[in-house]
Amino acid sequence: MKRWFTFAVAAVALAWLGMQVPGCATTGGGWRAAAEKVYVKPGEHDTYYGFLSGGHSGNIFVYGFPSCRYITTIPVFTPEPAVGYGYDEASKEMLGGRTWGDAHHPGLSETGGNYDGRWLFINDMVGARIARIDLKDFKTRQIFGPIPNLSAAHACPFPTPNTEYVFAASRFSVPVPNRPTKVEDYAKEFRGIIAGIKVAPTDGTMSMGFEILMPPFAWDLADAGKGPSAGWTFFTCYNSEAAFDSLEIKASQAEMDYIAAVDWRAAQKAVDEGKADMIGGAPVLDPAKVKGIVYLFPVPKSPHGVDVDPSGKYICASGKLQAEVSVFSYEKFAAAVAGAKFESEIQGVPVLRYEDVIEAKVPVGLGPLHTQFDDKGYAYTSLFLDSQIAKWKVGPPWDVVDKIDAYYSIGHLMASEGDTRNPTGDYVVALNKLSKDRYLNVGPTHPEAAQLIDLRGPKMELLYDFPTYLEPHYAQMIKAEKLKPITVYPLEENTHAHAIKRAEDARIERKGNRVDVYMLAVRTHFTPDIVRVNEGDDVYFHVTNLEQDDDIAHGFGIIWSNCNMQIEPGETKTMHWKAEKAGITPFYCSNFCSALHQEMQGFIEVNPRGTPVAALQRPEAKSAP
Amino acid sequence: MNRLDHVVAGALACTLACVLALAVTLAGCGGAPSGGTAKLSSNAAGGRSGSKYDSGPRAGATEADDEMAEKGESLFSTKGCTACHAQGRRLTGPDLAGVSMRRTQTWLEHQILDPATMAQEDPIAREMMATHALQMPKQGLTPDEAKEVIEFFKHHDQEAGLAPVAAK
Repeated sequence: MKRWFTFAVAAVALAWLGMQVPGCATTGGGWRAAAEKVYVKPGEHDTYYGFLSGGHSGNIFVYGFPSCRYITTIPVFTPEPAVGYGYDEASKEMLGGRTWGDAHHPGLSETGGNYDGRWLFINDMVGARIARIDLKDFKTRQIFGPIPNLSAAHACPFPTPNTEYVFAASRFSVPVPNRPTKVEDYAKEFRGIIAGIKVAPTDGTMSMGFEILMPPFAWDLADAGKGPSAGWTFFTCYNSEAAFDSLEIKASQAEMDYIAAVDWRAAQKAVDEGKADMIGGAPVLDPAKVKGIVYLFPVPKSPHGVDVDPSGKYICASGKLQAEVSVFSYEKFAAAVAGAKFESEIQGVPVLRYEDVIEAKVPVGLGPLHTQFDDKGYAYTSLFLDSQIAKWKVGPPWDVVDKIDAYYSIGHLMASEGDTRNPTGDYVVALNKLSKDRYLNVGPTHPEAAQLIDLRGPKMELLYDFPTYLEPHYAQMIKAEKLKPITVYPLEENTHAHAIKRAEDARIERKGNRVDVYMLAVRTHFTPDIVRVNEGDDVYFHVTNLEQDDDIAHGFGIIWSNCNMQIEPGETKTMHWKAEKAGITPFYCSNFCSALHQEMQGFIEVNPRGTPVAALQRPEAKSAP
Repeated sequence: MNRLDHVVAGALACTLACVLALAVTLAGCGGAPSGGTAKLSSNAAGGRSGSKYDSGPRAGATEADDEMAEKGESLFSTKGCTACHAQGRRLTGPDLAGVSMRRTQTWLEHQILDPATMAQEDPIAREMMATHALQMPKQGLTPDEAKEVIEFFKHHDQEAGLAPVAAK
């Protein structure tokens, strides 16, 4: 009896101990299998990059998948003091005085309808701007806009299959050109705009292509045709009722709204032939005068997302106030256009008959918003009201085969390369609008929530749950092997007008009140480290980081000022600082660089106004004691 | 001790044994780190310094190639070297006057091309890192460019009439 009892106590103790050791536990069930699918060993890399839009934080967040690890933030429409984005002269000029943007839809550049890893475009919805990020260095390199005549751009940028164009359509309609008007004259005076922005094939530079005057509806989302439908871009709209107040009621009356199909080659040709009117600096085509550039076809119930399937044969629209995805046939659409089978015309835009273009209606569930695809012929539609993802067969019998819950209120979803000609079918990420109780409570401002879901089996499987900062809308997931970012800027390729590459070129030049400081930064000093200027001078610090080692960025921060920037290895950046007051102002390396980082500093000696100063100063050659 | 005490004591002893056994198992479970650790190879093969790259004749023992030295001089100022080095005075890094007479060709090449590994593995480079509180930056020179810079060092040192010094 005694021995039996002893063993029992010991066995319980041992079992309890076993449970305290998760890594070695022999039990664990399904969650352990899920955990193994997202676990990336220390020192190893994820297999996918994910680019999540930052919404009204104006940035892009970079994540690794399947680990769901946050890697970095790419500042785009919002200043970022840590790296000096919006603080140094070049990025300040690019931001054009704006300090926020509403970044919604990242769009990776494509070749042949597949991601090519060159650039990432993203819209600033509120400012009607589009930014291009170069994926060679993950830096914002161009902000195009504000695009003339556009009142916010939500259906944007959605690149074409060979990145010929990105698009922007007005979310709000306003008078075009904008002028003093009564809001009550909405139907008569207000117009929407769809803009096609050209992308240079060599370096991705964006320039104005064309604009099309559209009926005063709320242009909502877009997708470019691919394969057989390449050459067309499709835009959804709501508020075809043309309501101008109480939209939640008045814009939800009609059974049908529309998709606009734009033949962007025909639109560009019309502009090139001089058929456009210049309005606000943009060539604007009026469909009442120029035919063959845009068509409408009816879509039930205030559609939101429009997504073209990988084959390019089907156009899938989600009527957010009905429980179905409406699938339209490109083939039927093309035939109806060719046969000029129009039921009416709205402000010069021909309208096709719904019956002539509809292919199928898929009963996915409540509040369908967006659709992505896999490599096995299935589509995945986010359901906002049901807070679920529905998996359905693209093609007969068009049936729903699986559903999974999202926590909570899913908006967009992002499948791995899921909007291309060749989705990889590995994962989908649910981008949820509410996180509620999913993470440690940080007060009333909740993070957003996202979930990684495995698509490789017959059933969708929830693998991982992670919070995101405000507020991812759409996102893109690309195979990591497609990107080959640089790690340093080669010094020999630095063509900055104020770069110095030799220590002997470090100097201070003065012309009137403008002082140019040609400074180098290298572990662990700035040269020059004493800068003499006069009160009232405009001082431009051109700092070149001479390092060529991975991950050795230097910072340049001036105390008592708003001046701070990070300079990457091999890079030159310019910072303007006004010498407001005579006295001494220290500056220092603000980005930890080495053991003697604290010693990496200097002084600006501001002398009283009018003190004689040489037009050219060179730092004295100094030896260590 | 009463009977119950005996039972509890026995159970505790048995549990303790189990804990020990478990701890031994766990050590295997956690896994020891593999690779990536610095090798303090102070006794590695080589000269008296312990550096496997610094044995044999000094770089400056052979005559400098003038054409290569000229290219090397230009690289020395355009690749960022002059930000920290001079010949005749110490700046951030060591004074490079006489460096070709102090070090072998191999050691200099390794130090220019892969200073991070040298700082981890080579006793001379480690000692210099300790002295300067800084690992020499890698400036991305090609192997050919490194050779040209070394020819420049040799040319300078030979012009100055310096002679090879024995390895420490």
